[in-house]
Amino acid sequence: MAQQQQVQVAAEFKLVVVGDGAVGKTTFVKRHLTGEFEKKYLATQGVEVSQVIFYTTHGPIRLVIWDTAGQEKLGGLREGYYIGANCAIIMFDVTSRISYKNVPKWHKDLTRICENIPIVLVGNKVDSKDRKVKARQITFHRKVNIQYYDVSAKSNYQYEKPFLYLLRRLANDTNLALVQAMALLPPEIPIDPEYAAQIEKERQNAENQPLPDEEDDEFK
Amino acid sequence: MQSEQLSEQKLYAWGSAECDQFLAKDEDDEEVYEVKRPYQIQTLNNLSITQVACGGMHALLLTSQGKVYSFGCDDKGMLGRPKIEEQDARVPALIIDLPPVDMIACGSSHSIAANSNGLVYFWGFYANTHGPIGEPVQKPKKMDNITEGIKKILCGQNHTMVLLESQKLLTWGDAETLVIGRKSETRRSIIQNLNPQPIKMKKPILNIFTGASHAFVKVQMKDNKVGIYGWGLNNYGQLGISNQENQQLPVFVEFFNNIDVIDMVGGEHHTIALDSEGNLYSFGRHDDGQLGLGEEINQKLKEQAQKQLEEEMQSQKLNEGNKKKISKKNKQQGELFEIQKSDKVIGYEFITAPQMIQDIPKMQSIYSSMHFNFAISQQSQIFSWGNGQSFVLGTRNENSQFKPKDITTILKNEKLLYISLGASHVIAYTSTDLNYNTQKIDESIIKIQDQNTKYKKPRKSNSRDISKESSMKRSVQKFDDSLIPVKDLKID
Repeated sequence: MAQQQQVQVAAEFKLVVVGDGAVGKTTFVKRHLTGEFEKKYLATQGVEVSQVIFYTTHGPIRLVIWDTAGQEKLGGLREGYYIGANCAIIMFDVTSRISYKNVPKWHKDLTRICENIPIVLVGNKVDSKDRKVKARQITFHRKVNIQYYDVSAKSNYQYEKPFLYLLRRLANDTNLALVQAMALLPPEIPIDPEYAAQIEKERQNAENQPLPDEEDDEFK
Repeated sequence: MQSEQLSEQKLYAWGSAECDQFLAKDEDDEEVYEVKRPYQIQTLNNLSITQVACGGMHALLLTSQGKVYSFGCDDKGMLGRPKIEEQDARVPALIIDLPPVDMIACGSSHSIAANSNGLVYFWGFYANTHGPIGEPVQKPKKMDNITEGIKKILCGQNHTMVLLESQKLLTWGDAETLVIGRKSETRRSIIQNLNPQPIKMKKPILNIFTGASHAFVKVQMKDNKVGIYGWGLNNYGQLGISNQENQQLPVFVEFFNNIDVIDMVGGEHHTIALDSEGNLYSFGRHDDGQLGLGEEINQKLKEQAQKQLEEEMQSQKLNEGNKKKISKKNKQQGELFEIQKSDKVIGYEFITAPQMIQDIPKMQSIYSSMHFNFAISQQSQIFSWGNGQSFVLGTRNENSQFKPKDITTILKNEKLLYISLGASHVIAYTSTDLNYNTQKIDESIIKIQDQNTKYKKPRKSNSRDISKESSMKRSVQKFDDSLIPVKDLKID
């Protein structure tokens, strides 16, 4: 039923996007503005599936992106959403601490079905001056050893970073690069370069902080 | 502010502080975001606390003067008090826009304070899949349509329940999970569902209980019997009705037919029930030991699930032809309902029929949030079990605890007066004086002066069960008679 893509792809991977409602998952996914963008709604799964082709040094790679279409509220997603996923983005909203608080839960749901897939944690809406989840507070990804990026879907800030990271992990090549820029919607809001530099610096500082001391005698 | 009493009571918190749940510092005065041991929260020496209620990331303290203090995460005005520069939201401060109250309860991002004579105040917000519903309420707002006497208030993740003296139950909040227990006119009436409405239950309601997105009532049945009804999210069998179908309207929980349930608490996907003898029953999701039934049972559940899957695959082919008819029928009940019914939840570790938790002492009170639980035994031991993320269990590790574990010593022999569980933190109120009892709220303080507000007398009842029920009405905070004399529980 889905129309055949014209492009001969080198590989195809399923990417699942998870995270609380209203953190910007759909906005994030929909910024791709390419001819390959194709969407279908799987009513039974409550998901929107879009296909995006990334032109890389390894040839064109198709990511089949699963977005939840708002079913996460009913106590997590169903098994079928995760099954067969090759990589994942866990997203939260840096203006909503409750969405960050739920990250461990999403991670757990994901990893219990998809063991050892590349995962990237993404903090969205960093353009907002009302940022609540500060860089120093984002430590979960280090505890479970996954990658983290600040992004802003609306300003395209660091938009390609999570995808590039996942593609590199999937291709098992840290030098993988895009040979053709992603076609994205123009930024809805600009991000001040100074502000971007500042949050980048905060991020770097936070990464260099030691993790909370794990040394404490266990309860007997 | 009136100084109420100098006492040696202590307020503790542990678990996650990374979302500003509370303020904790280490020896070097550096802020700590993961707190593994009960950490004493300062600056409260002059408050006489009578109740503690923990929300998702915030908490309320009710004093014997009927005043409410709030602290924790202040996103979108959740604390119900104006933000003041230089003032740390993590330090408890008075909510000035509230008259004296004698009941408090917290949901994920909302709070309720009530005067049992018939006033209910709300602040914060309810959220659904798309984020907050309507504008967040940043200071206490009176719910206009409640003027009757109130027996009990409860908050789930995104809903509120108020049991009236007339034995009717009002509910409101987010209807997405069906937890408001009534048919919403249309699925678009999201805002309308924020108005208190009675659930359709003809039988007198004696008590109310709630989990995150599922709820229960204890009702007066015929022949002087009582029964438990439940509704809401049931995707992991958390309603105890031996299936996984979400329920929009109350359904009878047959298991408790002859069991005198005195309290029920629930997390996101599980339920714990306490009977009058002190036995615990559990049902719902068990992947992190939420049910306290041990780790071995999960292996059995896995085998069962695999067998069932094989059977399903066999019958799926047969059913293929009938599929269209089924989906048409479901459509009338709404899309969400249809999707949920037709899909498998994650994992096999859940039990849809209530199980008694074995090898534990008799309990007197139970507490639950998200995926973990606490229980206090009749001998005042403290037990915890379930998901240990963020060190909430007090075990100083983050492991799942599949059976109730005795952690009494973490409070160093102080007398536990109250405990309340947040989404990833815990607040406890203790006394170093083992004979200390919390002060009651003076009746005159909560008397409503406004002549326009009618106070309906509670209906006189001749049923023994009902009178017993009314003394249980603060059961959520009640441990035992030695901790809180019954007279202190009676406010009106």
